Amino acid sequence: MDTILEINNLNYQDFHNLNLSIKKGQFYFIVGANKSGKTTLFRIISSLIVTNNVVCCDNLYLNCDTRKTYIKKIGVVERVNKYSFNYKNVQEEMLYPLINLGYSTNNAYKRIKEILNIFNLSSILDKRIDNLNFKEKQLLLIMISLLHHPKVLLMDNVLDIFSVSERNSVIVSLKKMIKDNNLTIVNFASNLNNIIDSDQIIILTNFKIIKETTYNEIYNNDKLFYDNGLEIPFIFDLVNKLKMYNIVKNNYINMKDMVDDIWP
Amino acid sequence: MALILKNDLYGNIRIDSNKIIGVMGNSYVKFIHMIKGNNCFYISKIDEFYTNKVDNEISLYFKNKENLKGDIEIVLNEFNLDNSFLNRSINDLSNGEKRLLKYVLAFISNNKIIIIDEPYLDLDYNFKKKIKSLLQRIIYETRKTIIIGSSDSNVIYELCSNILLLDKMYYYDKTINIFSNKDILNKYHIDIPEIVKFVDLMKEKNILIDYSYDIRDLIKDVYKCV
Repeated sequence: MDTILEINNLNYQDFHNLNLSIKKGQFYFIVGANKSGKTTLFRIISSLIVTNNVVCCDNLYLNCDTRKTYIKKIGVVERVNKYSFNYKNVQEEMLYPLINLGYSTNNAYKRIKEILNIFNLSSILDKRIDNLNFKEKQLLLIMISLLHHPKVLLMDNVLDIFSVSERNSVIVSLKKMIKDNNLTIVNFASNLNNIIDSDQIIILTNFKIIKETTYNEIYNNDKLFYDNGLEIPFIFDLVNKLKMYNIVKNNYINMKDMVDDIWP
Repeated sequence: MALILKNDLYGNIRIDSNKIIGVMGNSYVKFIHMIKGNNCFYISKIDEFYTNKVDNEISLYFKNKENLKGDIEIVLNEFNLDNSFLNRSINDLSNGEKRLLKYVLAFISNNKIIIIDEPYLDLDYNFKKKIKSLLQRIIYETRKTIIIGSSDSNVIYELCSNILLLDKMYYYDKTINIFSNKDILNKYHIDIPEIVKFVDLMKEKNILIDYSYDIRDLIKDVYKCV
């Protein structure tokens, strides 16, 4: 699998010689407790903090001269705040970034409708942004960050405002984009919600990468996660505890399957 | 003493005071915006700060409060923060640190009602445990009422004794009565908490156990039924 995003020897604030390699077409979760360095790392990769030839995305090293080109390769989503939007209505907010990138009006609208369909949100196109609820605004920010066909989508703690079923629905849409467009997603989070949707987990503690692993590690080594300030999801906790009592032997991600096996 | 919340959409809603009340449903955000105001301290999920430094923000809210310095120290200690946190620029704070600042402001306020929108947002496991313990202490020691709005059923189940469901109508009851009632949950489009879901799956197999709040109690009950 090709590498799409790399960090080589990052030395910035409390980061010392940090190296990171992200493969194309995968859903990464970079997880860590508060003050682990997640937000700083997010800002470095998203070029909100510009480093000098340390971060490389799609074979382009980020520095002051390349920043303008670099940001076209990435999509960046943060939590909604009062400065998130430039225009009054959804149509303008989605259209003008594409026009500024050189899209024709026709092609821009085509792309907008495509993204809205993926997220089942065509109904908001004609709305004013003020009339959207908080979750719709967050989804709008996610969609806007995907309009320009970025290679990598970076999300900083944006999924937690959704309910479980809403989050699952957003992730289905994101995974469709991974599959159809070879998009790579890096989700920064302070918890392990929806970790079963990840391809790779990177655990960050005190500005260091402690481990790169998959969610199966949670079954074998939940202490690793608790020791690094990360609560393991209910199903994993339940399986691990039931294993201790020899009530189950297998690993499960589906509760119903587990109950059916315990009480056939 | 009941808390009576008056608003145009729903009329008068009487809810129990000195408790942690969960608010869920499609209209919960609208409801929170309606009731925040007099005598409520509101922790929103959006960054809303009025100054650029932590100590300035605290002074803005509590300029004339007695023993402010002492109260701040107590709360900072609870969160393992030291006085250097007070000199930080708000723009440089991470999402989690901004959230903690809001809790610091809430805990030193004199408001009778604290409203929290998504209480665990941006907080890691250790801070979540602290917040849970602090919320329970607030209820016990200060007799305040805490209203928690969330889309996450697991959070509401863990923290709240009673729930107010809001959509076109409202429904108010004890937490377990609501989460064990599938008709109500479907009507208000509420997810079932994971721990309740597991017990419900056991009940479908005619294995009758009580709903637990703690996974360790659940495991003991499961062990007895195997």
